[in-house]
Amino acid sequence: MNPVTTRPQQPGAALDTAVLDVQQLSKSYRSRKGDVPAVRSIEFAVHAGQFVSVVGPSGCGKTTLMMCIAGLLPISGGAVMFRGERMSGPRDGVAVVFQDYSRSLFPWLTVEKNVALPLRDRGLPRAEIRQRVQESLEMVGLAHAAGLHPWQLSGGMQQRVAIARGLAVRPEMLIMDEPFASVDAQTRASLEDLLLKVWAETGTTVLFVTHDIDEAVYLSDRVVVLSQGPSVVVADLPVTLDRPRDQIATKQTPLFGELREHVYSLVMASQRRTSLSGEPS
Amino acid sequence: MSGQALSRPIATSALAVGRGVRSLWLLALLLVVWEVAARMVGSLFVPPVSQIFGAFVDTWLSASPSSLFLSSQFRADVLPSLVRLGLGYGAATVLGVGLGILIGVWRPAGAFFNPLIRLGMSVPVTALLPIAIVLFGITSGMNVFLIALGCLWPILINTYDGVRGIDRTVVTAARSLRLTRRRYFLRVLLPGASPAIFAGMRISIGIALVLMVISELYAATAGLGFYIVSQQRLFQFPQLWSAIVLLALLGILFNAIFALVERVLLRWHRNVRPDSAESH
Amino acid sequence: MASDVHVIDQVEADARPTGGPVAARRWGPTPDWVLGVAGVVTMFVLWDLVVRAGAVSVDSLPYPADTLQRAGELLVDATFLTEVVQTLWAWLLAMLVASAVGIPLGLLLGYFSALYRPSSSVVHAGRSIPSSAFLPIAILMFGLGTQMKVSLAIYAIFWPILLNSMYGVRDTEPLMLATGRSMGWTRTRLLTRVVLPSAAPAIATGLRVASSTALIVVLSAELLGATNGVGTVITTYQQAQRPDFVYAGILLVGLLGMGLYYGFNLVERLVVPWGQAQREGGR
Repeated sequence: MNPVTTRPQQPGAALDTAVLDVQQLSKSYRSRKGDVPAVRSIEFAVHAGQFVSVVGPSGCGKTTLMMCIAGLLPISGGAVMFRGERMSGPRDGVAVVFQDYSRSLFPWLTVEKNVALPLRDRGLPRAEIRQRVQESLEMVGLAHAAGLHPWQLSGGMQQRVAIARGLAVRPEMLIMDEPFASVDAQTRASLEDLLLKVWAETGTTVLFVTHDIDEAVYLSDRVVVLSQGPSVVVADLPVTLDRPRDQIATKQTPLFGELREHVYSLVMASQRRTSLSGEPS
Repeated sequence: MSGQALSRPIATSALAVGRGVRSLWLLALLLVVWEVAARMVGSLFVPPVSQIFGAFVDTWLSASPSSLFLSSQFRADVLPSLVRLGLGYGAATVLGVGLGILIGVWRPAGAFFNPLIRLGMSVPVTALLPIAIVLFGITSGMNVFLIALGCLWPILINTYDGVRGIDRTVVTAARSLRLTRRRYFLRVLLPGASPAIFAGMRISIGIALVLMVISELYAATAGLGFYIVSQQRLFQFPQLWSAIVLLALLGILFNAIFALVERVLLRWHRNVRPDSAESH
Repeated sequence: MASDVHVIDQVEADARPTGGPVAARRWGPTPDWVLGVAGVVTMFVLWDLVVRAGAVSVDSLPYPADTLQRAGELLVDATFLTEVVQTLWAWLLAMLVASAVGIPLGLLLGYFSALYRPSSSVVHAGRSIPSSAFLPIAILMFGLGTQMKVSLAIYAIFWPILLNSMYGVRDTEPLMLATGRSMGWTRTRLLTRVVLPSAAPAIATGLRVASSTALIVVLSAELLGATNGVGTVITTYQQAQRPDFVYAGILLVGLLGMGLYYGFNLVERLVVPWGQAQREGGR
């Protein structure tokens, strides 16, 4: 049985304009019983300014994939190309927002200092740093909270600080690993809209990892579907919903429903197939 | 949420007094029981509290403001003790934090020193008294050496634990921000390990007091321990007990200083995780 | 397209990247125990070199080889072993008495919140006094025998045992209590099924701390006057100007302390296996 695979070919888009090109990426963990593959032969590309989501069943190695792409884990095979250069570690131009805001923000620093941290030691003048911090905090609507500590803020606000910290370096690509998985549903909806607004304003490329199919479809230009681990790309679907999107109107359109169902069935199918699936063709 | 955090330090003094009464009545009661029991039994070794406090005032305090209301006895015996304590404790802190970070960050160093540290911390420091005397003679250096060695281990081990225990996500997040080594050290590693470092320093201050007294009991020509032995030889027990009270007050004072410093520097820590029991 | 397989340099469970923001470093195959042995060997070599070079006189620092040999001799010396037993006996007595009083009292004071605050200020006052300060008076009151050592040690370890028991009860997860109550458990059942098991790790911590403190205090008493115990052996050799035996004795005492520490850890892991998870979760 062969899983459905679609080579990520945006019609008309040449591969060399891709900001991010993931080529045959594989990653194994070494354990006592030998190597345990987590992801294998992942291939997809992300073009400048795109909003691309990666979805898959829980435990399919999404976080591993994200860490590899961000250069935070060494890869076992293949390559991650960022603007045509091979990534070998965390690099400028790429910012990461983690799921666990309570630990990725440093509780001993104020909001302002957290956001300013990645700007230090970059030879930027003080005024410039201050201005950029101010700017990114304004973008997420937290300019008033600059002097507070993260633990004085609600979960949603903390994640907004993390987003501001990502934006402060003016990244070409923002990688987000299930950023809204730990907040309640209402906060989540408003964070999604905030993210879309920020994305539209900055023109940053976004790679968004999530297990929530609705969220992936609602936010993205494209949805990359992964199989159960060791994961491979099962499908790469364009999302042609109109922008700007709206939590109620967009989600009521027939197209949204269709896409949602399609992605859902792909995820479920890949989950059922797990133990049987061989090498993807 | 933030309002609550901001208004917490503002407590009315009436409330504070009420809290003081509620938390101190048992201590007061026990002191009264002591007083009555001591008077009834008439033990030579354990005088009534009132006599001890009388001796405390006579021995350690004076009426002159120019000496900060402290007696010449205080200057003769407490100051040398405190200097030894400060030097030994300071040396242990510098060494313990430095070495603890080194072995925490650099795995091979940790493996290299591990058995030596295990052995070192298992040797009861007082067993080294004879060696210290041979090495230093009856000098303050001997006292300082013992205090430093005894305080070193808790600080070292706790610093190591603190560095190793820094959350994986914190480290990954820091890596993704591409900080320079120096900034990572100052802004992430050190603050992240600081609760554990402070815990170690807090344990060590108690050890420092114990060792200060022991080493002075064993061999010294001045200091609180020396004072205690001399009063024992003179059978002046209220005076002896007054020195014990003074030691208790010093211990309480150091603890209060620690509590204050931690409240300011580690405010984030108490707010992130609820206070756990004083373990380690 | 490059598909050459790189060496996998991520070791799964025990790799905890604490090295810094730099990429994961590869330390080759040197296992930890080899480095540990190297550390011990290095210390002995340095020690030997220091003495050989005459930096410290042999009267105050013997050769490591001599020290090890004396340690071997002491290990089979019946008199020395008797004194070790004396020391351990005092240690055991102090532990038994202090826990027999400290644990129940701590549970009680922790359980009744009206008593918690007032008793914790008594505890803090009491434990602020360094136990060593009582030595001169304890010698007068109890003489130079085992009783004096034991009473000093009890004073020193009573506080950590009491305090940890109090904290342990105090820190019982309210949700667990609520769960028990929802199942209609009586007060006694709540105590035995929820409060005691969740306080156990803290109590074990208190006992572990107490165990090493008790050994230190007993040894101090022996060095400063007591008439039996391994500490007196060390002072005797010191007075006889035999530093090799003094160092050998200290080395053995260190190994004794290490043995107690690891023994305690082992027992703790067997008796309160859930304590480990709690400790690590509490980070």
